[in-house]
Amino acid sequence: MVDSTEFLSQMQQDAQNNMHRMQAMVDSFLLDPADPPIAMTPNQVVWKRGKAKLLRYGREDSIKYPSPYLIVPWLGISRPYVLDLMPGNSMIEYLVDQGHDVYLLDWGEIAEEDNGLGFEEAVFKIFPGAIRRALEVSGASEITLNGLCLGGTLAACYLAMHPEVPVRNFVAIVAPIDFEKGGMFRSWLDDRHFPADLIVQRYGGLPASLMGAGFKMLRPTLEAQAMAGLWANVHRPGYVEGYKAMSRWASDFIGMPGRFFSQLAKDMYGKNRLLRGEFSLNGKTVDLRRISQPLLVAAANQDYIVPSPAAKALMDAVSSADKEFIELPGGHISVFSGRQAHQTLWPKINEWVSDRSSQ
Amino acid sequence: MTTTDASANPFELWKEMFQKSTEAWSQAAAGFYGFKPPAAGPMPFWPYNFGAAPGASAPDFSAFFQPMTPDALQKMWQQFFDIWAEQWSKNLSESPGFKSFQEAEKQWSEGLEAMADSFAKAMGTEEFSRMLGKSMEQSLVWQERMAKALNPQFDAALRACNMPSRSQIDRLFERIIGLEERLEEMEEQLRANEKNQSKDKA
Repeated sequence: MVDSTEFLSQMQQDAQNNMHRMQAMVDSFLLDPADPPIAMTPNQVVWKRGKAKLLRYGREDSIKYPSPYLIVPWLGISRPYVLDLMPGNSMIEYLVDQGHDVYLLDWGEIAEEDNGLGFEEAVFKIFPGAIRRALEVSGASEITLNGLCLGGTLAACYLAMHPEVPVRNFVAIVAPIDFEKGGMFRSWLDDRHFPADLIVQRYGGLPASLMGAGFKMLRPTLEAQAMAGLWANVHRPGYVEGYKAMSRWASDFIGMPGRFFSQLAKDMYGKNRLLRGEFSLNGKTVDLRRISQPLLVAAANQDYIVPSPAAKALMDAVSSADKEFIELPGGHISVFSGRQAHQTLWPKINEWVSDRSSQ
Repeated sequence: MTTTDASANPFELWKEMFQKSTEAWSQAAAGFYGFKPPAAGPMPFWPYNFGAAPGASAPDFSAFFQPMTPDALQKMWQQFFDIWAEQWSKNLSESPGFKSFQEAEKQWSEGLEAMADSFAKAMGTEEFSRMLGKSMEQSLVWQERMAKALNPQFDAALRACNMPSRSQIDRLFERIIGLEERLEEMEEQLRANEKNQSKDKA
């Protein structure tokens, strides 16, 4: 039996809390609806090719590790500013503060005119150009290559096709390699049913609208859960700013080039050719065993986009002697751009790379 | 239909576009739904297709939705509702009452999580993938037919306005990329030459 005094007291407390939350919601969304400033870490463009550009974030006076740290995010899908979301919640800012000379390969705003862009152009033209330029600018002789999501898949292909390149370390974060274990996308992109060719024929590539629909279908309750999280935490300092910035990013989809999408849907999700050693670029097979750099693979335990086993497969596919796998709490994005990344992934990357870099 | 010098008169341009688009829609609809347009000319076409013409029957969309049979849909969603209902019953039976608002929030949040899981189970099936693929395929085929019928009219209209088409701009972009590549190769060559020269001097 519930004690009536305790019950009334609890009700009063709940009512007060909810009033404060309501007030915070009004303040944050009605009286101050502006988005917080995003992507604030100072940078300069040091190289361009087509729409792809290389941004340098390192500060000359604070670089402790001379080897450039090159981040290659996913191609298409969404914008890379989630890596530099806002001051205090930015993987790039963190690494710069730790003394790394950070570079970001921004693929640019993919649109119909980029539909010819596929694995070949990325692996044989864009990666080599960006790495060459990063080495020139920094004056270093080797770099650390960090691929995120499909950027990690591309980076793995690049390293497998160019084992002689001056890449000292390879960091692959939530990068799909075993597409058989690719979760819901594997099921939806089943080449017996999915009309990848028709999509490319009709749109030239995968339009942003379809991309957004696909990701929302993947976890239809995500927005409701985010709203519930907002209501529970709206009064916490800094929570609303982070929510607004992440919400803005999460609805800011861009398309995927036709050639790349076709290879991804048919060769990767459809036939799992990369892991099977059957994926060819410019007539040569991509053999992941040719990757021998020290390797750090990171996955997230609640990743619905790239389930942990899909990313972990890189560990057994390469011939690196020095390799480490970590599975961290979080989802596909929150593992590298959430509040907890500050305590988990970022320090781990810093420590792992520092141990393998000359100062 | 006569083609006028549309660029000289905006109204004529609009009229021509309207007439041509009507023709194109008629052709596309005839190809897709398998019915013959009732009459040439714009005015009888539009009411017919909105079902407003006296005695006109609405187009038969059943072919478009063919893979979404009631049985298949029921089978797919039944499992989703079953799982969801089971989870909610479990939650409610385990917590007969909420002692605080926080508890209610927690229950609601767990309910959402259960809902997400049941969605995932329903949408991760072979059946769902097949239906998704089939629906997309039919939608894309229909869009392709529409585009094929309408694109020449859009191109003509753009030409009349002295504006480039999308494909022309795409070709221009490709040429610019090609030029950038050439420049980059030349820069690379120059840098290599400079390095060689400084080595020779040393």
